[in-house]
Amino acid sequence: MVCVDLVFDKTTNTIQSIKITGDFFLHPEEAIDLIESEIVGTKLEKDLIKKKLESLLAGCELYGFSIDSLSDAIIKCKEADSH
Amino acid sequence: MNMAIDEYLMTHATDTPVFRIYGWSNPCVSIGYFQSINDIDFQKCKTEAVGVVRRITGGGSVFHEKELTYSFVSRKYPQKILDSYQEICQIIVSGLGTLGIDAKFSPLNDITVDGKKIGGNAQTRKNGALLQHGTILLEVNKEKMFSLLKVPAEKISDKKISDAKYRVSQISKTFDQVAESLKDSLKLVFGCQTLPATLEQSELESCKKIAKERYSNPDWTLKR
Repeated sequence: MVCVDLVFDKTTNTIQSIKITGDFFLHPEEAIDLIESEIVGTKLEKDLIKKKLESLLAGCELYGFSIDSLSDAIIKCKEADSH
Repeated sequence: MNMAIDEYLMTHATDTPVFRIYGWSNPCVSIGYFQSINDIDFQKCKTEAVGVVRRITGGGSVFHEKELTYSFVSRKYPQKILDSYQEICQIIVSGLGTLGIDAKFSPLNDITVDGKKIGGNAQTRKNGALLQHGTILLEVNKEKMFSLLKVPAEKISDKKISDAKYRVSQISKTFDQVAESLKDSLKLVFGCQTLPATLEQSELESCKKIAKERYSNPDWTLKR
């Protein structure tokens, strides 16, 4: 399971900070730190997030989540906040 | 200290693989590299004098008490994650088989008996070396285990918790029986000789340093 803790700028619709936690596997593990820092500033649009994650996770192996499901989870955080 | 020794073995891996068998002097909860500290009841762990350590491997939280824990370090291993889990878990499956236990490797990283989980595994790879550590439950206090390990919010319902409890089991063998079976299994699975080894004093000092700087450091434990 993957949990996303997201802070975003409603005016610019961009990610301000993000924490991705869960019982998944990602090799190499340090890639998670790179994602959490490099994705800051990305617009909260699924295609853009997915593209960014694909670039950051190139060469990494994931178990327990996919790039698509993580992109969805990030977008859902935004939607949950607006309800 | 256990996690520090495993890390030391990985960072000092040679061409000779190492299979380490160990237990826990005090109960402990280990959490995966990516987990939030809020995935466990940290306060309850403190109250009940259960240690908490963050692993350098991913995966979920584990309550270590009456179990046999092992780690395997090697520079030669299948590159595909699934293949490497399968190969290393074969040591466990084969070893338990010699004790009359029909254990199975359950991808990605579990060992099951009669469909119930009796052990889990987690892996990392750094600088050409692989570390896999895993557990075999010898006796499990499910009430205590599930009071310390939080079930994710999305899964909170009496049924789901019951299901999780149902899926966990134990094997009725002693630590020594299982340890011996694993040693024999290493020879069978890899067709190799096994030599007993202990850490030298200088190595233990290095492990203590790792334990102090990482595993006993709240910055590491509480980093997520």
